[in-house]
Amino acid sequence: MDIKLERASYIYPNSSINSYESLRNINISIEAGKWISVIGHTGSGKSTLMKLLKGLIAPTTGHLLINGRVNELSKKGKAQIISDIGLVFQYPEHQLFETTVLKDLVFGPKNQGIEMKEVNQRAKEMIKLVGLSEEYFQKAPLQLSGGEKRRVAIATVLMMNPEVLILDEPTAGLDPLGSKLILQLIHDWYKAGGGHRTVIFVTHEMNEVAEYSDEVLVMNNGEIAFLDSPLSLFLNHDYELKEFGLDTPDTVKLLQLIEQRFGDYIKVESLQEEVVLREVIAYFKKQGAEV
Amino acid sequence: MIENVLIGQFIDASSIFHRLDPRSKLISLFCIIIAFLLIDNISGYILASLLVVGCITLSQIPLRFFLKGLKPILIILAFTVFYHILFTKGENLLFQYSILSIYKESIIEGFSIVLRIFLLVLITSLLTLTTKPLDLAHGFEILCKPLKRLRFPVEQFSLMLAITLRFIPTIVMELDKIIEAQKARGVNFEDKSFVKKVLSYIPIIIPLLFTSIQRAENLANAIDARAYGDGSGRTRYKVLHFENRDYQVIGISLLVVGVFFLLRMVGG
Ligand SMILES: Nc1ncnc2c1ncn2[C@@H]1O[C@H](COP(=O)(O)OP(=O)(O)OP(=O)(O)O)[C@@H](O)[C@H]1O
Ligand SMILES: [Mg+2]
Repeated sequence: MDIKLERASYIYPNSSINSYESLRNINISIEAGKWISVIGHTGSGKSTLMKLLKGLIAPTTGHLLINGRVNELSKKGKAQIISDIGLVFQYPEHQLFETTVLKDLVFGPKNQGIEMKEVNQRAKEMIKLVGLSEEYFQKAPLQLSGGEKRRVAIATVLMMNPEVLILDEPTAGLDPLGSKLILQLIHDWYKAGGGHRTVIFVTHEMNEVAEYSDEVLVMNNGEIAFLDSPLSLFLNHDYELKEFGLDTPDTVKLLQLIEQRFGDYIKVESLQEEVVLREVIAYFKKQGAEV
Repeated sequence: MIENVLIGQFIDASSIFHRLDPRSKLISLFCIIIAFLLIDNISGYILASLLVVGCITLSQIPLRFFLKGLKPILIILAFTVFYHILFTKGENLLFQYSILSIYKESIIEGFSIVLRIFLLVLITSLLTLTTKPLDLAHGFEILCKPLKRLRFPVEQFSLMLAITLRFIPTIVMELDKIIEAQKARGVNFEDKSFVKKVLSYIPIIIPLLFTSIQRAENLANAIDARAYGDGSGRTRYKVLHFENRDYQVIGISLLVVGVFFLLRMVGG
């Protein structure tokens, strides 16, 4: 599924007196099969953009296009939810509302009109996929731990079998191991689609960005500042990123450190940890070091 | 949803009304309500409308927030107008068809009642839009202190008021969140007939109660964690005190009552 926003802006209808645009002049085209990371300072409009892409809110001006077709209701200023796009909310507390985990899991597919038998089957598979067990079915979602809540939230969205998965800071507030498990889970889901599944991933963790993304979308004050590959973005625009209050991945810091110390710029093909380490080791070997 | 609920909604700005002591606002509102109830002629309505428009302008709050407060009562108002036009009698008959007769007086009467309610709602909205709910309750508590002698449970009552005012927006916000979460999972709230729309809100009520209770528990914990006792002799973080502008506003309000009283005497 291709998603496109044309000259879109958004103003929250209930925002305080000086209603300002939370998003301004957004033009973006997201092709099927890509992993897009979204970064930007707090309040830059990331979450708002994600809701817009899902069709939860309609752009105040401009259009949302799905596979080249204008989302009909978005023209009338009404939101039309796109059910093939799954959105994992920033706060799992806002996503989970049923009294038990099982009820929360089956809520979406039931609305899609899928048979109960299949839905229940899916729920059993899904709870395992996110690393929990069926024992969780009868628990109250809001009484789970932070990490468990996130897993259940992701599971409720995957239950609807989306083509595009939007995740709004799914690893925020988790310990490194917890984040890693969630990322692994999302990556597995992404790969299982054989190049047809899209992931749009909001995060503050630059290492996650460097590791997984095809493209990085940088938001700044409600506008798109950059849309670029991680390699080109972090190596060519690190100065601007600093201005926006954004960090760079560890691999970039390592490359820059070597450049400062030894005056050599190591050329890499990507910023993934494995790739950069391989190049760095090769460089030191060439310098005659024993590694 | 949230944008239709005005009670307890506070809009931050720095107008004169925001800076007033809640007590002087309550007293003034009381005066103005009395003044508006005294109106019985056209000049009174014109004056009252000008007063309300002036206050709204001074409040620096966009008109739409006031209009939203009127929305929920529109049906009742429309009903009032029709009731008056159809069922009350006057002297100047305008139109007659079998049992239906419409008089000039009843049209005027219907519209003036509606105008009066409009003005009252607008001026009351001014209070809730420019005052933080807790300040309002606090001011109310102090003003009602004399009633304590009559064994009226002033403190409990104002705490109740404060909690209600404080939680209406929270609960409505909660409702909004749940609606959004359910929309994201395929519930359609938009394209439905009225009855279906109402029915589609029913499944939200249980989650709403559920999450509200959970949140209330968290709130209770948060309050305990900050060592909130039984309230006996607790110190307030904010102490109210009157300033010149408060006396001026109360003075102006009393003057307004006087003017409307005179208008009634002269006009009548
Ligand atoms: N429900 C709302 N009503 C009014 N204004 C809102 C609402 N939600 C967000 N905003 C405003 O819109 C702007 C963008 O908010 P958004 O939540 O999209 O930021 P964000 O980039 O996701 O931030 P964070 O990294 O903190 O999650 C902010 O200035 C915020 O105050
Ligand atoms: Mg956000």
